[in-house]
Amino acid sequence: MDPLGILAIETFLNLGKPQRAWQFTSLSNERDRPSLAIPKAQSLVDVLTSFGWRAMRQNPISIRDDAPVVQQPAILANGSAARRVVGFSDDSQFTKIALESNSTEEVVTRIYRQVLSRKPSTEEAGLFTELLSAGFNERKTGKPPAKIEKLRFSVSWTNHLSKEANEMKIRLEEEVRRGDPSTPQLTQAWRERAEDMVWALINSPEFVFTP
Amino acid sequence: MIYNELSRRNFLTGTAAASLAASAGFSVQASPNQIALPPKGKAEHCIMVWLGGGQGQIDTWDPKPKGDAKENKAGSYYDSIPTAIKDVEVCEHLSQCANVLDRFIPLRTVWHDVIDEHAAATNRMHTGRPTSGTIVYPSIGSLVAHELGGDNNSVPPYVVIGYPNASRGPGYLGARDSFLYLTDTESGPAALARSLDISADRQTRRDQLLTFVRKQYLDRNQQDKIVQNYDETSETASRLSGPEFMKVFELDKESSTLRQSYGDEFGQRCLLARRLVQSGVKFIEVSHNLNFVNGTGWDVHKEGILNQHLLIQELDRALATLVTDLEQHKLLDKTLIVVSTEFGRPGGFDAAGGRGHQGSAFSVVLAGGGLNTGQAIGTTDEISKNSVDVRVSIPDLFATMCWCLGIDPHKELYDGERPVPLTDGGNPIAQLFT
Repeated sequence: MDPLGILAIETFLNLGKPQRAWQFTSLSNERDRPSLAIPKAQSLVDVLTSFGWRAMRQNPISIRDDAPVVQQPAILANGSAARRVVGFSDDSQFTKIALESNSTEEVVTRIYRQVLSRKPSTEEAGLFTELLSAGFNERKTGKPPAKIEKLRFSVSWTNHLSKEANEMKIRLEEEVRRGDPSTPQLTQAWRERAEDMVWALINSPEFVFTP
Repeated sequence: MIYNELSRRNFLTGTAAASLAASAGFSVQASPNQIALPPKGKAEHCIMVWLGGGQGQIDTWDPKPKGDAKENKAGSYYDSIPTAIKDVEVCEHLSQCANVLDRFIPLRTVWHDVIDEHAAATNRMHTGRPTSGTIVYPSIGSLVAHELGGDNNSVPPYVVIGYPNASRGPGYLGARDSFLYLTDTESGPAALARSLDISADRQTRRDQLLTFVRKQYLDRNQQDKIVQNYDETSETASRLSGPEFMKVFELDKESSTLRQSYGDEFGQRCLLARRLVQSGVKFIEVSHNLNFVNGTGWDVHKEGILNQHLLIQELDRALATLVTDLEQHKLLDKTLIVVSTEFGRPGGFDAAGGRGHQGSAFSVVLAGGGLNTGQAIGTTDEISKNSVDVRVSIPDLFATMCWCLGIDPHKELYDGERPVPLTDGGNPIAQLFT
């Protein structure tokens, strides 16, 4: 809310850019204003919260609560953050794997390593190799990567009450919900099948319990 | 001083007395402040309308003779009109609610002492107690979810239509009693709604792949109860993302006449709240956060007050329609409506003709819930600054809400091994119960 960093330290505290879960802090939209929402961070905080994370740096949770919570599988299946992970955009590790690999086996193995930190079993490798073999050789379109346009951001505390600030944040919310655009470098049919594989892996109970 | 703080000494004597009483076979009263409870309420659902920013009681539910912002003469901003409750008036922009006010209970002397900071007041009005260094208290929605939520296999017990924040969260109760949220009625709940660009065929393919990898993992972990439990939960999640529960969010199934009488986005949220009640959701918080209508929302400092009447009219229309709509569906007696806010606003004006914050007396409005409606509780002085008779504390407000839903406000929950009373020593307002 203080993009230029010009406000007094008594009023604004800069907590830096979060790289780890505990570094996130409350997004504090207690005022319920669209213009004070932080949609991208919110989509990640939603995942953290459903797994028991609390918006208190001083009091981080260190023991896993094993009680099943319906929001956990729900948010991995359909949440915005999960959608961004699953989507093969030009900012995705999976797109990189898909473009670099020389065989379907290699794609499957590397995706398994990336998501579940292990090699696929023979049955798993069989199923997914079959899924991805159709159209594998023709998967590259030769098109250049998409330009990801970043919304230029100028909502701050001083202007957040304006109509424009609200509209801008609502548009951003919508964009976060949609996720980054799909890469044009892969054919749609093949890309969608590969995305569905990633979706299945992050929705497997194994993903949640992988140490 | 913090209101109703349980001092260590009180606590120790209380506990000692209680354990003595228990060992002697007497009935135990945990706190000397507790009264015998009135007859238990029978409501099963609660819709809490949240007016973010702090609604000014003197311009809405507790009108006084008109003031003048230019002359800095304290008083109401608008004219007042009679209502369906004898001798109770409201502001002219609440005309639809005025006609059905006999279904309401304006609580006009609610008070607390955190008026400097919105987030702190929001927290007080959601948790019902001062913050503490050792415990994160749950919101009223999470408390209701915890008490009435059932087996977690049906619909989500607690839904927020608004932005997620810590004050609305489950605190020490944990993620299980947290909310499902949506920020607008068009796009559905953030965690459940399937993206429209995933075709039915693709979803089928995804489900088939998932069934396969899931089975592999479950076969390898048959003895692990935690894994099995999680897996069962994912079935519930999948069902909730399916057509049956998602139908609840299809507001276009309602008649256009009804949709129009609810009004714009805020009204549509209220309509969705009714549909959520019908689906079995226990607690719904509906936020009225459309601050761009007048620039400030209900936080009418300075020029924010100039278009405040638009907010009041929007609220009036949606709220009156909600009450009559619930009544027509025979749900009003089963559904407690609470119109709540951070704090109130003073009768006097600031330099630019707006209003500051006031915590000494403000209005929270109840409706339905099978309570003894058609009466106002509490009377304020000529500028609605202080009570001249009874005062309604925040713990008592929370106890009233709980008891209306059949939840014992004196019950103790546990944060680990630490007992935490459900409300902060609150007692329900007895005359609202029969």
